[in-house]
Amino acid sequence: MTAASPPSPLLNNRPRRRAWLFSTFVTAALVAALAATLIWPIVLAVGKGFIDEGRPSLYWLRSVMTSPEYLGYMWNSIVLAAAATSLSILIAVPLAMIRANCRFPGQGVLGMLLLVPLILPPFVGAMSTERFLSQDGVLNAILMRLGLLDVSSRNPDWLQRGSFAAVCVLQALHLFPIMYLNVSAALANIDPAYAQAARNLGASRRRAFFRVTLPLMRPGLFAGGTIVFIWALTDIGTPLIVGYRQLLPVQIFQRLMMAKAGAETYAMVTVMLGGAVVLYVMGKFVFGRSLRAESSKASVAHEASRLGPCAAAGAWVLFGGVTVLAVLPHVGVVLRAVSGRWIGTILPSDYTLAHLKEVLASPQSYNAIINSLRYASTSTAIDLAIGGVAAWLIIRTKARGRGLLDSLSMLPLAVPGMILAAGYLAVTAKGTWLESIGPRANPFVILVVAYSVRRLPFVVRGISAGLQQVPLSLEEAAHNLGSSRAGAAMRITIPLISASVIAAAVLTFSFAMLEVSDSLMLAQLQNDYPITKEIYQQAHAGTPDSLNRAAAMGLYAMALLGGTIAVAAALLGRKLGAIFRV
Amino acid sequence: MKDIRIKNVTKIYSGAAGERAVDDVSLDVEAGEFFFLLGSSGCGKTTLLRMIAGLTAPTAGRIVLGGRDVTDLPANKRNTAMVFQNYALWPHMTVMRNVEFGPRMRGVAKGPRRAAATRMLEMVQMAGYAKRKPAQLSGGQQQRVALARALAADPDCLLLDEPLSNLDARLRMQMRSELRHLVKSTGATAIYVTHDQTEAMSMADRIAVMDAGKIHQIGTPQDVYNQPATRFVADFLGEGNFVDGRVAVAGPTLAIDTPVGRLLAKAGAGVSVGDAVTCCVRPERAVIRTDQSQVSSEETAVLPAQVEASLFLGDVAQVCCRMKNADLWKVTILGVSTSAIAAEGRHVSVLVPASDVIII
Repeated sequence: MTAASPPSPLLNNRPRRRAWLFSTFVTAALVAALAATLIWPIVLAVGKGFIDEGRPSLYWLRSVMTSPEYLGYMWNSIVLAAAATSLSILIAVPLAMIRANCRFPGQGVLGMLLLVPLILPPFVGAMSTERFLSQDGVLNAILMRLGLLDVSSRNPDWLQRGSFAAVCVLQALHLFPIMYLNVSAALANIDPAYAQAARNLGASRRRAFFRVTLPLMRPGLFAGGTIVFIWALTDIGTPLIVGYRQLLPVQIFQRLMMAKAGAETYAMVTVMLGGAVVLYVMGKFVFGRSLRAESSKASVAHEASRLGPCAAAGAWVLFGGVTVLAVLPHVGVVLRAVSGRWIGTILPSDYTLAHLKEVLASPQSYNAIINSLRYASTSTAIDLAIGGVAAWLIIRTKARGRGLLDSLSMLPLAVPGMILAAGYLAVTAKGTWLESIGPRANPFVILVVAYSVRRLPFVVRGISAGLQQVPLSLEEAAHNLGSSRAGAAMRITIPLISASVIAAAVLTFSFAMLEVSDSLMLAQLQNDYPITKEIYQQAHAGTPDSLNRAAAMGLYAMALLGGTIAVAAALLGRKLGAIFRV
Repeated sequence: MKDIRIKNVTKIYSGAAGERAVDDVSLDVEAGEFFFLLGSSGCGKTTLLRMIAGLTAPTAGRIVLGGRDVTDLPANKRNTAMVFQNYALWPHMTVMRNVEFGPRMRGVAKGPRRAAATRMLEMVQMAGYAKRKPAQLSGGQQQRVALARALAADPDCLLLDEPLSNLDARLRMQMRSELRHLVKSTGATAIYVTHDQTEAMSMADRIAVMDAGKIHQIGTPQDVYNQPATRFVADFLGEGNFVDGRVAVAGPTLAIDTPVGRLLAKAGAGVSVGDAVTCCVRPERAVIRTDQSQVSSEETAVLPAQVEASLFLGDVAQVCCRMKNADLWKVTILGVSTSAIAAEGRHVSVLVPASDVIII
């Protein structure tokens, strides 16, 4: 057998060669586009941290990493992320275990309701904290009602002491569905025979769980935990609204907004990026690899125990209770939006629609809603087009460079939103050739690009998963019976992946509507504000009704979100669950 | 009705260290023939089929359909139709839309193509299921729809990739004769890929036996069974008792000295004294006699043996005999009570007629 590679059949076959060249060309174009919109801005932003007085230097990096103030912020951020992650694990794991091992009426609906917090951003829910935790807030009112608080003495100001906890809880309540999904998937992949063998050899249920099931579940826990940790570590929306600023990402944000962004700030960006990348790589390769090695299909039937009426009621309370808790902050926002006077009582003392009307009447608030719709729909269209083509190239063709395309399109997962925004600021800064699309000129392009890039991994992943479920033989059969390759794609594959495409579109759109970091940083002129920036402005305006108006905007945003989901439900029917496949 | 000529087709997969999935294969299929590619998994038969369909490109060689060189033509221009192993029925289309897809691609108007599709469905007895979706059909029903879909396309060449392998044993047997009848009635040239030798033997006009990318023999079922060209073919089709020996005496009847005894065989072309040959004796051709006084005649060799075990299989009994050189030979006897013939440990004579010894 010779060592030379065999003659490629492509060289003898013109149509095939043309098709291959075309797909390689498109792959290269996409790779170039991603490099320009993802790699280059980050490199630019990070690079600025390595320049001291015009010369390359490690000075600022060293300065940031040794400064006690910044180390303090970093430490705070890590502790916050760890606390949020632990809390979300504590909430999610018992729920996932019950769901996997028990059968009770309504479990399908309850399971799906549990996933609703995924689309309710804590940024909006955070607006409830002021009403809830302040001196004349709801918590104190409840405590007084319960007789735990003395009416005569000064009420404690929970806001001051409790903002760290508030941020942590809000994040956990938004993120626990991710853990729940990951743990459920991990449990589903564990062959019940393992635990049954342990029980057969004498282990009690509890022991079998801790010695057999839990270790096998660990990779899934780590995979989900890394995602949650990175998100909590780099979130700025929730801390900003709650008012807790002792965090690294918040500090970076404030400096960037004050246009005092010097090399020091960009050195902090580098530190944050480094941390996120390290965590992501650890999560993917160290823990992700063992997940693949250990997952196995069930060899025996999974025996779920049927819960009696008491236990079933208990399950309902647990599932329902967690969902209600997660939705509570947003309920608070709704109340805020329609409340007249709400001081010192558990519920508002009178209701009014004035705030809602004001928002619609106010040109800048109305404008913000329209802006968000524009940005969101454009970025969704771009994501579907580019993500769909990328998924097709990766899964269905043999184009050169599709591995690179795959890695690049997944890369935004490792890059916290704020860092990408910092990169776009750097790319469009004063004096650069892209200044005309900068935040102070016309940020439409960079906002849309930012939303698209950030959401691209999910679209590519969602559509790829759909494509992988359509066996190639279905397309081949069509091709064999006379359809062109493109015709086969249109007639066979695309109808069959329509659920994945719709799910991806819905998620991308709702994300873009309520996106925080890029919106806060890249829209700097009032005319260009999307909803989230307008909410932020209102929340910090300090005038008497501004928080109510901010809440009203939040209400509209959530209504738009609900509308999107309703449309998706109508289009997807029973396949609605596709939306939540992370 | 078109013929198929495959000329020196090779397929090398670049990833697998230069492994040749199909190695310089040439064969001719006559128009209207029901031709079988038979071999075990991984022998290259499905790869060859896919190259004929145009779904895989050959590394070298030409494929000619009805006098037209189609090697460089894309799959949808070749006018072949394939029945896939997993049927590949489109789940989002009804049975009718599945079946009329081929005519639709060729631009046949709605009326005529619906009529053609209905005719095909009637032929496979699935006419009442036209409005159902594939998920609502059983495996056997799906298989028939897949066949109807392929036939409705009016192809020059019908390609079948193990279409019966996903059916249960009983259904499989039923479908064999139905399938052959259907294919023959349309007059299409058909190539059928299978690893099941009973299927091939019962349905084929001619069989090509493949192994490791190469063709070992092409012939009618009788040819490949009674005159296997290689040991692989002899072993793959039916069972065989093999022994190597040397030709001692040439003539109209050969005498071959082997470790189990002296075998007699009919003279073959180009075999002379001193040649080393492999002999194959089919289990159903040998006869067992408990009478130890048998001697070899001019036409029959007598081999001494001792019964090791016997298996009662219902219609036949299989007796395992320990031969002179300690080899185990199998002899099949028609449904006679084995106790009458062969108790364990008994010394017997195995009679092998010269006409029943195959020289390889």
